[in-house]
Amino acid sequence: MKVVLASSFVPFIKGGATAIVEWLEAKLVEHGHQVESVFLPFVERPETMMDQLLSYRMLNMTESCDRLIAFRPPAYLLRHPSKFLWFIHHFRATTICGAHNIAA
Amino acid sequence: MVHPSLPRYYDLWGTQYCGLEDNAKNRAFRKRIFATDEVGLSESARIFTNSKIVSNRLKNFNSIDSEVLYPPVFQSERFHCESYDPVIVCICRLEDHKRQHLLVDAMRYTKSKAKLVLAGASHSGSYPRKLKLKVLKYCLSNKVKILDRWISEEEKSQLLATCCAAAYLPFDEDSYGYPSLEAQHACKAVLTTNDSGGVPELVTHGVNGLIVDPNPKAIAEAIDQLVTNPQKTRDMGQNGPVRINELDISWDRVIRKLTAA
Repeated sequence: MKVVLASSFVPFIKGGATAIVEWLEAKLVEHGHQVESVFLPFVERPETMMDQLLSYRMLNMTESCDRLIAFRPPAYLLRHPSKFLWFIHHFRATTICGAHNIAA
Repeated sequence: MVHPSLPRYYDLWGTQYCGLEDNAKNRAFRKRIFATDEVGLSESARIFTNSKIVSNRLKNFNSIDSEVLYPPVFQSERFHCESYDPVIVCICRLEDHKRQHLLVDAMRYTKSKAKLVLAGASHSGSYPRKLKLKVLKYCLSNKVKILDRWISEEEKSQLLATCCAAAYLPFDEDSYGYPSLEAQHACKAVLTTNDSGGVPELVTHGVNGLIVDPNPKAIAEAIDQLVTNPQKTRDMGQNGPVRINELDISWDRVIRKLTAA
């Protein structure tokens, strides 16, 4: 089966949420599947967040694969008729809550 | 203390830890986030989570049912057991909310020959500095070793192979955490606290680890017990892989679930 693994990431921040995607990709390939991993940037800044969500929403993956597996929000907004979700955590509100180090 | 691992629009909303003022603007923003969840969650054909905690949150905040699909570690066969030396290791990022300071404080009260090794990289360097100052202040340098750097996978599996148990005491984490799972693959008991969040989904007190109050004296007692009662510690360690099988934490299960029709 052709599988796309999709998650969001904060540019230049290394996080554990990407490891699970990389490991799953390797294992799916071992099991004979074709896999592409897609990481889209997402910065939880209130001023730009709605535009970013809309960008995710406008991406339709229907013709790209048989199965979409989404991880970190807002990857679940990507469109696909056979979308599975491996939900690791909710939105976090890091920007308003003073995680200014993200910009550093 | 900042707990960066916690979602604040959900379980911490309205508490002092939220960090967000409860005003009209923030309330409206929160509402939009829930609406976004609604779209993404409701049109997913299947929803899996990494823990009961996250599944419960989906149920409570989004009224969505989900299935727990525990995430395995990569190449778990790397982890093995060579010995049960009187050393407790804690291998994870050195950060406030992982609370290695509780372990350092505990070492002030241990009476056994137990040694503690803390290994892991940190985001800023300020937390490892605090830990090292603590070690100096309480003259613990012969009992506590701090490796504040990125630990290679080989080093990690070697540390786990020879320790008698691993400690992992994050504050209110969303899942059992890879450090717990890695220790159990290496047949090592996990020492944790009863406010660690998801760790007790994997660890049962007295069976494959110890769960104690999050205070240094209770942790010190547990460390002494692990070191002075090697047979019990070994038995709990050997129960690690049994527990992993029981929960079926495996890539075969993950692949089966995620590629199902």
